[in-house]
Amino acid sequence: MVRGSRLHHVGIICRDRVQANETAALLGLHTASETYVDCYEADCIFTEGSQGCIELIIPRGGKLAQFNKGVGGLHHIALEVDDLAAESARLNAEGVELLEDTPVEAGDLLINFIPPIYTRGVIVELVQTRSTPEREESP
Amino acid sequence: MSDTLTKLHDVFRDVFNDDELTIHRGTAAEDVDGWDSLQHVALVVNVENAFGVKFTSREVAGLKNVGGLVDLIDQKRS
Repeated sequence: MVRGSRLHHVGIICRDRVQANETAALLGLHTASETYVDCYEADCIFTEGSQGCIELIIPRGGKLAQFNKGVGGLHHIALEVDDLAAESARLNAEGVELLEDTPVEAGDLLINFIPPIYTRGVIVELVQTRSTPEREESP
Repeated sequence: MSDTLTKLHDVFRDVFNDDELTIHRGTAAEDVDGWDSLQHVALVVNVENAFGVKFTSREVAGLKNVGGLVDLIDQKRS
């Protein structure tokens, strides 16, 4: 359930990698992982964090590059859910149309978004961590 | 042009900061520069304030173009 779920990360759009590096340096952030999400045309840098982290998003083009008139800035909060499919079905039943018809694969995450019209201004990303074979086989 | 559409014109021009912006019933988000999901929220709030109405998220999410917005405003005010 979204209600009571965990903060996974906060997404910040940076105009370019230079700005991302400057932001990371300013805030003392260290990269934990990076992935390119094709459908959003963006490099996504997840920084280290224990109770939610900061994601620095560097668009290569597309709509994200136009966010906030191209300036970038605070873009979304992401909440972790155990079962994105179930959560999506629950929201759909309440009349909420998520941004994507099916979840998007972003590295080891499955994601979808609640458009800001439902929250009057906040883009909420729903995140489910995908189990990887490596993790499942770990002792 | 209906009174609602005329007044809506002013709201659009204010929200999108474009005094030359022209809308009609068929105008949709892809027709207006900067009309993204967050700007849509700003538009809705400004429309609510200008017309003294309140929309539900479901009503707003179902809008396809300016004509739908005009009809919804008129419905709320009738």
